[in-house]
Amino acid sequence: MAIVLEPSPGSPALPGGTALPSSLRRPTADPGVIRRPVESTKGIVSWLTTVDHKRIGIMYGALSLIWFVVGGIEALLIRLQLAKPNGDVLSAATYNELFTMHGTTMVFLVVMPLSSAFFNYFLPLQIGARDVAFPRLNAFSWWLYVFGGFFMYSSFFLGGAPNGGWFGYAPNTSITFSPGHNIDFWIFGLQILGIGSTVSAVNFIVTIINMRAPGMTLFRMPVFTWMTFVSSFLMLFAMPIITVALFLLMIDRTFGGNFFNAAQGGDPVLWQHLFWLFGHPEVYILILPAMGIVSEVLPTFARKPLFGYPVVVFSGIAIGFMGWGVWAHHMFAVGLGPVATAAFGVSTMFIAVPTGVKVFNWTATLWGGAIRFTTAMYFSVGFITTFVIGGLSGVTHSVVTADTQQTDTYYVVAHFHYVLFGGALMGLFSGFYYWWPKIFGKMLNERLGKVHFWLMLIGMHLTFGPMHIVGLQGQPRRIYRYDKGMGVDFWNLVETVGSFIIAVSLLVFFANVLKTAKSKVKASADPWDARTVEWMTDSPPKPWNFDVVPTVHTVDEFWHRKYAEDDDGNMRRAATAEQVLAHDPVDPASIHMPSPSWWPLITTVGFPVLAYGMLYRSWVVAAIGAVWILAGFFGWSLEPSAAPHEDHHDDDGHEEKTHDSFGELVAGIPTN
Amino acid sequence: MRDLVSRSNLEDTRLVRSRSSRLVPVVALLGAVSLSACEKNPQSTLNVDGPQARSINSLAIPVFWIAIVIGILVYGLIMFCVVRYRRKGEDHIPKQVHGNTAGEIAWTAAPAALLAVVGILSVGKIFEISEEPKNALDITVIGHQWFWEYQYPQAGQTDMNPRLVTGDDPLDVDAAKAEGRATRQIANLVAQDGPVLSTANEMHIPAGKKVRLHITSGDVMHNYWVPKLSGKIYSIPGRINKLTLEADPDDAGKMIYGQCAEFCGTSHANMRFKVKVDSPADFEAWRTSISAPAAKATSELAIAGEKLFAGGGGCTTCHWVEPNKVNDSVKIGPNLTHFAIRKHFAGAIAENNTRNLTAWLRNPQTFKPGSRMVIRKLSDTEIEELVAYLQSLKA
Repeated sequence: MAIVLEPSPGSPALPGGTALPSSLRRPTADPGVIRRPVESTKGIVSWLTTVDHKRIGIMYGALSLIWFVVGGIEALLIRLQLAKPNGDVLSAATYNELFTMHGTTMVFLVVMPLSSAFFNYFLPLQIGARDVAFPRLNAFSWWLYVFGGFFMYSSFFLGGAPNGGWFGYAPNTSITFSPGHNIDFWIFGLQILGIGSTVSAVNFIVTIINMRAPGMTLFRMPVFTWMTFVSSFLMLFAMPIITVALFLLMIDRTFGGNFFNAAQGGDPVLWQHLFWLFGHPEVYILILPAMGIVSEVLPTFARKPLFGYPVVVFSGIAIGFMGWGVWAHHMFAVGLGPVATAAFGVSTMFIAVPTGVKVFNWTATLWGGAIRFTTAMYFSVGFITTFVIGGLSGVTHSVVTADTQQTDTYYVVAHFHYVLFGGALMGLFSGFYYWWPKIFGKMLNERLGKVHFWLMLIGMHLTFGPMHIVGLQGQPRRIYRYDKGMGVDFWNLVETVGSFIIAVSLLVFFANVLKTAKSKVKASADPWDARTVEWMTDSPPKPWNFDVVPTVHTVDEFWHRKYAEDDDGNMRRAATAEQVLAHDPVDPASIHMPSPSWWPLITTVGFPVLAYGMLYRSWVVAAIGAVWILAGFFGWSLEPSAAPHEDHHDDDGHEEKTHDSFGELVAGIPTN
Repeated sequence: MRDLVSRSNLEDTRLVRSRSSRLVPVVALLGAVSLSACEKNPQSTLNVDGPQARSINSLAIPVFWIAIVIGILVYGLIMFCVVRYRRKGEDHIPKQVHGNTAGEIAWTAAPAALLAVVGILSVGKIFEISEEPKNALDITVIGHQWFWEYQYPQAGQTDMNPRLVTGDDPLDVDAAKAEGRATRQIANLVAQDGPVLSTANEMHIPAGKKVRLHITSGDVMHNYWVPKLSGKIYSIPGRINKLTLEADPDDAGKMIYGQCAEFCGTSHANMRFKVKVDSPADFEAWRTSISAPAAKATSELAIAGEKLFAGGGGCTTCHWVEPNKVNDSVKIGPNLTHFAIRKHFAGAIAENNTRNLTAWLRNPQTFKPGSRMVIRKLSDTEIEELVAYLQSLKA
């Protein structure tokens, strides 16, 4: 555990209660290779070295929004090119780079890290913890995300971006057919990002298992925490598969391996199996967090508990399990034979059952509620309605023979954008509007929020709705142009118009963020009359999250402290949020948080160096990167879990004199 | 009419810059008229031309409608809640309902039961579609970046025994020699012992008769798709996939559209093809016509073109004109033996006419970016000679 609680001031110095003779000193902890900065460090250094899950969460959110803009611009260029037949906005080669990077960006640099932003910020808060289990590993994941993304995008300036599609099918991605470095950037970029995802999956799982507040049994965890738990397991098991696949492809490309080379006895279909064995669970990694957010927002604004909480949780777990048995539905036209396709068709059909259960339970949560339509609620209801369309079109894919007509057409593009844009992203935006006051202590403007919602919803349906039609009319995916006379001109133009409406909606969102940032109005700790533990602290929370960690008795702990039943069985307000949160003053010095650290950042710098070295076959550079990483891990492991005692200062800038070296000793044990 | 349509396409893609601008409106108008006479959605999966595609739709369309009905019901339910259960003031606290076991079992079991029914029908359909037909005409289909090659059994025969072979990539031979390494093995061509008839881009099939396609790839993955006849099947190096197609008897004379559906590199969008449906008699006549070697070139221009083709033009690295193919060498371009009788060329994106051929030979890359057809700059005379030769290539 990284969080070290010191004995409260005035308590005996030693466990035995013996005071230390004045002639003796306790040994001081080794400060490590680089002294750890202290918690009170300010400015840019405090962000570079932070291990605070909340700051890391904010940085994840900010950077993924930046990548969202980049991926969005790529989408707009794609739509401009396809606005009319035989478009000439982009060359074929550029178009292929853009659709590859659009997919790769939106999956790995936007939706996953945006979910991660919410995991980071709210998972510890929801379970009443002070931080994640491994705060420095958490920072390490974050820096891998930063370096992985910029590494991949550096390809645009170094000879060409990845151009084999986000699915990178071999042998088109082999050295024979893609001789440039484009694909290498994709491979190494994804490897770097994959390490980050795997590490944070472990971190979240350990945090959830070990760091829940007293009384919070697994079935008292908020649903968002549950969905984090499930998608972390999916990440933990899925990332190694893509890692192996990418290693095989790298060996094929760099060292002349023949894993996917049919001419030498390899099998290109193997790549598809590996990719989709990762790729399908990945889809649930993208959608489950959003489902978790919606499951928080609906009860809050309907003022009702989530209908059938255990069923919603179990359906999430069921989706997690079944998600491993459906991957070949991406391959119904590959020629796997009737028995295999029949099996995967049926399993795909039945994954609709737990998904449908969630939709029905959400609807039942609304039923009989007292719904308040905030922007967060708009987005959550928007999520359900668009997700229903995406889910139903998914069922039409599971009819294998029908899918042989639909696969690789715009019908599929429509399907997964309804699920991932109308679904995942709308859920995540719901999370923004819902949790913004908790994160920043200010409310996003509701009026602008609703303008954002309606523009996004309309733009979404205009962009992706007609894709169903043109797909069934025979427009294949990933084509940089289509001929006149295919009968798809009109709807393609409509799609382009829709995509710009989405772009405008995002401008409204960013305007809202700016307006909110400038506003002086503070949000209260509990602006929405919320139900769960993350609201039982200040807005924004103190670095240590809770002055007093609550003891949990029920899922909707906060709600049940505010409301109680009267004699007629009706719910009545028993206390205000302020009354619930009132507590005796707590000495912050009694709560010890892990100190910031340079090591996650320093270590991560080695990864792009190693990758550039491998990519340009400059083995010296690669070796420098590898040694750098190793040295980083060594320095990291020698670091104590807290800054040296004498570096700590109290709030007035004076050295803290009250510390006891016992805490220092305990703090000296490396923990992660 | 077709010719004009294709000219306006070329205009659009700016391949031909020297055209008289006065002609543009006329061509555009004629193009529009001919388009309106054409089918509106030539690649539609909904308005189909063969029993396989119809069989797929006989299940797909009912499922589609069921999905729409369920969607409307769920939307109705959600909208009802949204309208009906608004908060009426700060003190409005609804009954805290935590769940309803009977309800939850019902809405788990009902969709599961419905899906089970659909599942059984779907599995039946899978086996129906994948059934090996009897007495079908075998055709071998090979995907190439970016065109489709077809091989037929000799006239009057129906069976082929395709097998996979590997060969040196002809475009890698020089580089490999220079680097002192083994030549890249790329192509996994399907061939058979004994002579085959081969063509490209346009696949002829007899109307009302089942054809059995044996599909593989000479380079990367492609996905063979004729929406109006059947679903897709991947073309994969090292594997032979099979697909049954049949066009309705009254489709004879139709040119049905097809396109590669799997991303296969830079010019994936330009990997289109046509299925020409012939009456059985016309089909046999066509097969006979491509059985003979090309007639000797007679015009002076064409003879010069033939010389250029076989010599200084470097065309035979990738192409061949029978009887001049060495049997065991891998060719990565299409067989041009009967080029002149094809209606389209270059992945079926261009009509086969003098203007397009001239533009193509001037720079194939503007037609089909990334094409492996990289040629030296030819003079106008050389282009004229080659065009004349190509247009003479028929039995």
